[in-house]
Amino acid sequence: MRIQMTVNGKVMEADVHPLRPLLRVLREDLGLTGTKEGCGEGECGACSIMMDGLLVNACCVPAIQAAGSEIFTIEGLGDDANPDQLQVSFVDEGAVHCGFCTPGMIMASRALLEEVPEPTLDQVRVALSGNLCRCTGYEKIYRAVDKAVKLGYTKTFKPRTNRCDKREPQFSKEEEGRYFSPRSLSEALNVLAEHPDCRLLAGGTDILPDIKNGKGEPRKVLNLFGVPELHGVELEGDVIRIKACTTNGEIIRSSLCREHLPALVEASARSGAPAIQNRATVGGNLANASGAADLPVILLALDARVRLASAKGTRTMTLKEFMPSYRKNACEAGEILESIEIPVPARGSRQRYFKRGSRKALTLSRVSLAMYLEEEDGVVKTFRMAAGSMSPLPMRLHKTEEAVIGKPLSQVVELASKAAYDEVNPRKSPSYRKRITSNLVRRFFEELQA
Amino acid sequence: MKCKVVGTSVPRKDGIEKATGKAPFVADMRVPGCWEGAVIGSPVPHGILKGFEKDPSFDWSKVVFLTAKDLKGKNFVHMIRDDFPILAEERITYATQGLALVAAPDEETLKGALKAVKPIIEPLTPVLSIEDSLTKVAVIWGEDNILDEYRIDRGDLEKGFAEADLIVEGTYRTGLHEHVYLETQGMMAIPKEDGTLEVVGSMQCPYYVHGALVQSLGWEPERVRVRQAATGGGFGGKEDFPSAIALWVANLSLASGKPVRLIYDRSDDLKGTPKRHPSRTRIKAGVKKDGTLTALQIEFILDGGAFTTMSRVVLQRGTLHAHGCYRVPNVSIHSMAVATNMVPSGAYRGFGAPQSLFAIERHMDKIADLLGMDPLDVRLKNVLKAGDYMPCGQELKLPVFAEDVLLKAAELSDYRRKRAEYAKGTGRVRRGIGISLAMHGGGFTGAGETNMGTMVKIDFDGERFNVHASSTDMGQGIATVHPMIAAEALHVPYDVVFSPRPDTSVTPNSGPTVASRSTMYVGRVVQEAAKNVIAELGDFLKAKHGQATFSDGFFETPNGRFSVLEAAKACFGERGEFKVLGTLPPGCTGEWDQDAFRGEAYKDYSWIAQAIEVEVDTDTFEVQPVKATVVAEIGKAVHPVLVEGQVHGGLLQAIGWSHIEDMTLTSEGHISAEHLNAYLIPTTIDTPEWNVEILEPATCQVGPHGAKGLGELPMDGGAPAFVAAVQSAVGVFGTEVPLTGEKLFKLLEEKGC
Repeated sequence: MRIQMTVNGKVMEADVHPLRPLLRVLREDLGLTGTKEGCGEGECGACSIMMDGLLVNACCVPAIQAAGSEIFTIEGLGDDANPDQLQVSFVDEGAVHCGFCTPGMIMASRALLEEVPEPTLDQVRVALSGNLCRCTGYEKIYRAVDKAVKLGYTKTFKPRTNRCDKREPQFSKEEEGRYFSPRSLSEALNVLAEHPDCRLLAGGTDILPDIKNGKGEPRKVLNLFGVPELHGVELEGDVIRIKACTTNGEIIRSSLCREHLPALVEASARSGAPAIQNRATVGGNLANASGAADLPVILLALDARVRLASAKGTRTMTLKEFMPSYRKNACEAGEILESIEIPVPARGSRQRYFKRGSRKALTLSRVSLAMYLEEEDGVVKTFRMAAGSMSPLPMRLHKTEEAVIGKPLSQVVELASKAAYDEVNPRKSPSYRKRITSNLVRRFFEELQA
Repeated sequence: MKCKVVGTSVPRKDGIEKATGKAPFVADMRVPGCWEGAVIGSPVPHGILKGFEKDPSFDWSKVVFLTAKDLKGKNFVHMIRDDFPILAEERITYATQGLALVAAPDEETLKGALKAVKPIIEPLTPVLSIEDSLTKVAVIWGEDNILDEYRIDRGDLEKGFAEADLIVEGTYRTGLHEHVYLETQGMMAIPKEDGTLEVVGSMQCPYYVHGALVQSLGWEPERVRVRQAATGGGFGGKEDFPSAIALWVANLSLASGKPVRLIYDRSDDLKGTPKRHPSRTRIKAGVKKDGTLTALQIEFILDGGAFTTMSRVVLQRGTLHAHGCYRVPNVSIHSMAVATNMVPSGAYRGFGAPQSLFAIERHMDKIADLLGMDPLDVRLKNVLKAGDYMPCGQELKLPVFAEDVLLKAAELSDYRRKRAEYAKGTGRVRRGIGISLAMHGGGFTGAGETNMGTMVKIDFDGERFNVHASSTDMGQGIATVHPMIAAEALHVPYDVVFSPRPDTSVTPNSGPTVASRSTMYVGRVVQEAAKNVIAELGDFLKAKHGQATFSDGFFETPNGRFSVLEAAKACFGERGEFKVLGTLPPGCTGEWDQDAFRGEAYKDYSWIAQAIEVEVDTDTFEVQPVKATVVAEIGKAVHPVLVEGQVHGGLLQAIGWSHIEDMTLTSEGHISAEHLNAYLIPTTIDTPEWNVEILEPATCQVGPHGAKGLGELPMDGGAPAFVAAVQSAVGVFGTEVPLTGEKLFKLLEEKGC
């Protein structure tokens, strides 16, 4: 496959396998070795670069999705003779030790500053939470970012233009008919009708690490990420529609989601770190049907439905119907998950997403819980609750819901807590996870009353 | 005299090349025609290798495939004891142990070859824990699984216990700890036309790699050249293992006639490289009612993994730090490193001391609990002072700052007030504060520094001075610190002094980059070499001008005044080269009897106290470090910003080890965390606010400007302070790290919370 990209302002070409990680294209095919590989699976941030203005892990972007994009790497900031202010601040403040995380750390800082020119310390910490550093304890890095801002670094930013916008990948003869990168939904559905055995590629954050870890490489691939109709959040009457390739990052930035679906925003923000959030999609998170995924949990509590599309038309179903069993989804041959529809939460309703991982950022859930509640005159009118990470698939806790609905809010704290304790049935570490579950349910109801 | 360079925070030498992505790490180097190498690791922890099943449909002529019998030279990786084979011959003693090597012209072919070969192994019962090893579930090393053993006795233990009002016993454990240097291990070997071999890669100790190659291949030392590439973190993890990788790529390269590189994948690195020794420590202490220690009996056991590698010296240091910073008249310490079917445990920042210090520090907290005293007061009651004796018989002749750092940390953290306040805490989120005290002996144990023969070369190339030491910069900043020390001693600007990455064809052997020795000991030798530069230039000017005296940074001669730089330029201009050596002067180590394991274990110690504050969420059993107050006495901070960075980074590794860095051996003998999504190190969000104060009394008589070791010190006492903080918050006594959320939950459950 021949691709063109704008890399640091220059059009560059590479002839590579469609699923080759962009990291390797940059390092090995284009000789840009400033971007480092620390893990190759989106867990360390050493390969952080900017793609079309957003921070991404280059190890998790397949080349097919980099075609026609605008790439900004550490080499684009400055060189030895003429480093930019952020690079100089990193050196001056002692933020550079072994130097291996440094290029990624600097690019993550740059991405933050392009979005938030004067970030708070908390914003800096969150923005860098997917970039591991084992040397500095991070403090010097915060100071470096702060110093660059104080010295007017953000005023030096110039708009970058993509000189090969939307330029399509040119597939080789051998790849023709196996790799597809459509630019419209109808085109995508037609491809799928003809090639129902395609593996669907959304953000790539699961597929690329899987390939690296020897879990098999798909023979045929349909890249959906570049289909504009599959991105975006819209209000349609009394539902909010989220298109399947909408990323966690787009959800976090969506004013509609922030207003109506704060718990979904919370779940998106707690899922991965910024570079992953900018690629991981809501559709991918659901279609993978994994027990540890964050978004299905809150979407179950929000009573979301999904809409599937094929060349023949669309159909909708509940989330539970969409995920019949572990790692299985209800898409039939030629069908894709097109969007998720969420009833607009009632005025005055409450929603929460709780996640207990093994650390604070970039971590899988040990326990995840989501609640949605409507009350009327102090009585629980509607209550939906879902739990993740404790069963092969996220599940609704119907018994707990039933125990609570119709009861006065003031009387349900212990009841709900005990019901949830009894209802969840984690296979590993059961007493620990049951206890966290009951504690968090108690917290939800106590906070409601406070 | 006031320093001009030392004590300032100049920009680090390698800063810009790292911040621009230009620093050459081994994976960044492009050597034409370089093959890719790989090692075939054992799938089982213990077994007999019967041979290999090779798929005949694969074209084996395209690749090089080597087993133990194909190795050039002898099959061992030279270290302390040469028991670690390059490749297993018959007996396999740990999962991932190298069984065979493959190299291919490209990655695709390599992958094909790896798929087409399978070792045939008869599995045996594995030894997977210290207990398994002690009870001899199987004998896997020597006659009794004991790799090394030490005993220290001082005073009369029985008498000490008889004098006590209370006997306090406890058992403490620490878990595997993985370095997670951001750059994985990697090496490249390049065969040269003249029959020599160049090896370049990520390493801490170029001369260890060089020695391993020379010893195994049986070559003349000059035939092997080892160069350090930019190195993305080490923390001890690149002390011994690079020697093994070097021998793998060297053998593949000699067999193929091609340059061969082997860059570890992160998962292979997690599974197959050395980690911090797991430990079990049992302590029995006798104390008076007022908290005075009368006797201490310690049994300290390290899980060494399958081979000796660094265990002997890790055990020595752990043993010599096992009593902590306390005065004990009657003491008995018995320590062992035992073999298990695990990847050989190796060096990791602190080198055994964090393990034994965790135990003694927790035990001091336990004593405090039982006596109803504050942990700070029990420590103050027993804290070492100048003139006291250590269990190994060392008299502390130099000033001791244990009490100073402890009191200062308590003051800066507002320890007493917070402790009282937090004890009253109720509600969902509870705060707690814990304090700990630790020390670290600078440089090698015993007479190691004298025996090392550390040598440093300073040359002048017409424009700049180059300090050649085999100390590697792996992030800690030694390639900045050595030029600073030299610039100060040479009275020249920092800008004209550099420290190139070590290359054994140029760089003399100044020893490995370990043991917190590079500033204190090698830095001293840099200073000595610089003195010799001044003397040499003085002689040169004297010969030229009849007379030359050096004062205030200038040479005065009858024909005028010359700066050192001017003199060096003149001398270089005349001779065409200028090189001067320096060595360690006598008196830098003390009297040490290795056989009796007694004497001056370390010439001087650095001291550190840390007060760590945490928040415990009693709903989720999550512990968040909130604030870390650290006071360290290191003699002199040569580069204050780098020093602070070392303290932050070292303590954060200790905090990670305390609660989230969780790695065990599975019942099948595999490392439980095979990816960075399972082995979790602290992110920005898991990091406390820092408050660091450095004490610089400069009383050390060895290090330049009174500087002592720093690198390992911040790792030494973080874990006990963290676990003590959790105890202060929720009232449960943790005896092991990592204290994961689940373990904390169990402790709370046992307590009935």
